[in-house]
Amino acid sequence: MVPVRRVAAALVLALAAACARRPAAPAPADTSGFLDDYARLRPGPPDGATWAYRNPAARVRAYDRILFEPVAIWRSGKRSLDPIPEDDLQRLAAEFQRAVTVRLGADYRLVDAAGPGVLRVRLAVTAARREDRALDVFTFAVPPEHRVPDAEALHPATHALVVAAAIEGELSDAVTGEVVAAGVDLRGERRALRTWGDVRAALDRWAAWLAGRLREARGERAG
Amino acid sequence: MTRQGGRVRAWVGLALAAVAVPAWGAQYPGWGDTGWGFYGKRECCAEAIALARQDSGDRCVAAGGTPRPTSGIQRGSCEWEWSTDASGQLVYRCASEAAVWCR
Repeated sequence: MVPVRRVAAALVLALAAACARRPAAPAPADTSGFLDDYARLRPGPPDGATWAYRNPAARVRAYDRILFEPVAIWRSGKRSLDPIPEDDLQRLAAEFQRAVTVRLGADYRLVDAAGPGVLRVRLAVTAARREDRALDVFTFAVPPEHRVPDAEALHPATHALVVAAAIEGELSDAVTGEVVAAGVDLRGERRALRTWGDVRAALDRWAAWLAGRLREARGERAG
Repeated sequence: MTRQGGRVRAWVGLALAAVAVPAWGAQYPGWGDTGWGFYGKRECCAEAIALARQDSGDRCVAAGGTPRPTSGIQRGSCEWEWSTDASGQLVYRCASEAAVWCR
């Protein structure tokens, strides 16, 4: 029989090796350049974003309103978004905007101007590498009356984008610009996303997670 | 030349003119260059794309058209380069190509 001590030692060594393989900050190939500073990101907790930063001096409780900037879509390469129907790009941005607006709107007042107590939220769907010198960029300021259709299959080019994409985001003080939190999220089995219903559900889960983290940071129970 | 042949040519000419200047289908690519001075790629690319779209709209007007409202969409390419300023901070310059619909 193998002594318990040997098993425990082997487990500790395996864990140490796993930790050693995970670098302290994300590799440039995993990030797009959407965020201003990736060096301060660290591996997130098991239930958190893949890479995260939280400003220890920031007072999250001080914010009761949110200024949500239009969602951006970034992809490496000039004209790299051309194969994707523009309606799909609009729809992806609109689905993301809707999910976050609904989830954060339950706890915050959504505003369209900076001011004291306003947290600026910037989010992007990125399939880009920081060192690539050309990008294609799409942003859509979703009008309130914009309707998104029900579930249907994803266009192959749209599927390729969502499979390769990360979510990058930054929360900052709308007046001073001080970063409150930032992160890069590569979680989820994105290959399984086949329909717009799948995309909607995945974005809603992500938005619910974000709202829960903000509640925790404010000292409330995550819902 | 017969009178009928002249009418046919006139109709063909009108049809060609209609194809060449569709109601709102034309696009005139525009270019924008921010110069140096941005400390973040996000803002740098946004500015370059805004400049390129403005340039595209100006080309549309110069061609006798009217830029079509964008319905909240901002879209374009962004090519960037970086350097460091006197204090050692990263500084970006971005160039973009973009087009707005012209009617």
